[in-house]
Amino acid sequence: MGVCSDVHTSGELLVTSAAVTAADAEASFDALLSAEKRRLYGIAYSILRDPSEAEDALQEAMLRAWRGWRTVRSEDARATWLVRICVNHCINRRRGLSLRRSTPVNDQAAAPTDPRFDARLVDLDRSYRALSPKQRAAVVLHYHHGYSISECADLMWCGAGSVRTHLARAIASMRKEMTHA
Amino acid sequence: MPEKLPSEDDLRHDLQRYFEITTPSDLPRRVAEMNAHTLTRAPRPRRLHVALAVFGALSALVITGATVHLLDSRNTATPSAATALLQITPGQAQSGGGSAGSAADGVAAGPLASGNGGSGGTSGLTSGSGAQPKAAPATVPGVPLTVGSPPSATIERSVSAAYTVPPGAFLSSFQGVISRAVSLGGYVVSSTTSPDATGRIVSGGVTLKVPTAKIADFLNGMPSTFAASAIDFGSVDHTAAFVDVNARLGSARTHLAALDGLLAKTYNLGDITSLEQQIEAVQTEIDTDQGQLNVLQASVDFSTATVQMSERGATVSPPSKPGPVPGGLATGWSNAVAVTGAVLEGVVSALPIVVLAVILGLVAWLGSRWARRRRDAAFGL
Repeated sequence: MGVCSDVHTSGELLVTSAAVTAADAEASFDALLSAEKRRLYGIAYSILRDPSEAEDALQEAMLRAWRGWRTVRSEDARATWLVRICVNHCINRRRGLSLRRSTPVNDQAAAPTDPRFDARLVDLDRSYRALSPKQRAAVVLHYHHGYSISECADLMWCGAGSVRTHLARAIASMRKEMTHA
Repeated sequence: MPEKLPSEDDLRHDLQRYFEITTPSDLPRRVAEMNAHTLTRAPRPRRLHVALAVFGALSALVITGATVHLLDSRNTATPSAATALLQITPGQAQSGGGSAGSAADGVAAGPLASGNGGSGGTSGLTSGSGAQPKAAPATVPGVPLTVGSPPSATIERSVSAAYTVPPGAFLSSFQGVISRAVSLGGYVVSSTTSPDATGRIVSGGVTLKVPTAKIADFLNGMPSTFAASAIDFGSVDHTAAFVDVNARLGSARTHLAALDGLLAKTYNLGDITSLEQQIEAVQTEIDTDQGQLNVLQASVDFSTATVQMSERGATVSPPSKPGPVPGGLATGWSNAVAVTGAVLEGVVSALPIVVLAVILGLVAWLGSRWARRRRDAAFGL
């Protein structure tokens, strides 16, 4: 798809095939993005815990993805590639926000007004916000989106052992925080 | 009693509930409309930030330079104590009090008497033997001002006066002042003139040597159309120098007379030769002392009068000082250029290190790029 395999001797045909290729690339990108944007936005929001930051991060990540879209050779890996770009960009952005701001981002954010958000979830929310960006990413991907440890390692561009470490430390930290609350 | 830790299973369950509740169910409009077309046309705030940062840095440089310039000009505008002693405000001059003063604008040049009052004359201008410079009050018509007693033979006098003359009368006034000084036995040392924007000479100054005994006549003889804006006097006491030179001169003359007496009584050729050599040395000494005495006498015989004149209302063309804001901005820009030049000089000085850093950065970038491609290849992308 999008790649003209035939060798054309006519310049007009070459131009036409290039245009078709660009249109195909845009169509395939849009199709995949529209299918994945809800999941991508959920990941971005869960890592950053800020709607506007999540929007910006997703926009920048997808712009990068679109620029490198034609370099992706395997169509099957494109969805994973999008998630990986999004996760790593959100981790980096969250790290940058932590460095730029003296106080942790959104520590003062109000708890959701949902009646299901009980006191236990309030404590969990506070302990989750205290996690590092990579710990957040590991927790979100593994516990919320159901990725396996190896899949999380692929998405976070680290080893499976590192993912396990991030998860273990995150769980320990949250348990400790919730106990002290 | 320590609280029980939540189990991992409970925590996982809570996490699932937490993410289900907190994850937004509706996509924001920007995300919902996101596609390849909107992404490529989205604003890039980073460039705006860079532009704003550069603009801010330049503004800070210019403002800093302007502030420095304004502070410098303020410090420069503060008159020194010595200047304040010699320059009297118009208000003080018009009061006609006993303190030293200078004439105010609009006060016509009037008679200046050189009476014998010594110090403490009605105008407060004294000609005592002190070497401190004295300033003159305004010359008010009908109110004779005194320069004190006739200058002693050992006081060197100087006066600096500024007048405004009627429009169009600068050259005739200028010539008139010079003519009056010459008629009193003085002469011109130097003079300068300045044109206005149209090229017509409207202001200038002349430095004159006027016989000290006539200096009061010279100043009193200024036309009534002249308005004095400043008259400052100064004096230097040469009494000690006169006493010293006269003493040496008297001693040398006595010595010379004694040698002449001895020479008249000597018939030995050797003694005569020796006496003539001594007489020659003493005569040389007398000539030198007499020369010093002549210089001192000339300095006290003639006073230095510096007269500045300008036509009333004339705009003197000499470089007009820019206003504080344009001047400050211009100087600020100059300072910014200077600072930039200094920074560039520093960069050039550190060029070897910069080149090394660039090479290292390039290697690091190429390495990261290679690693990224290898990573993508590892995932079959």
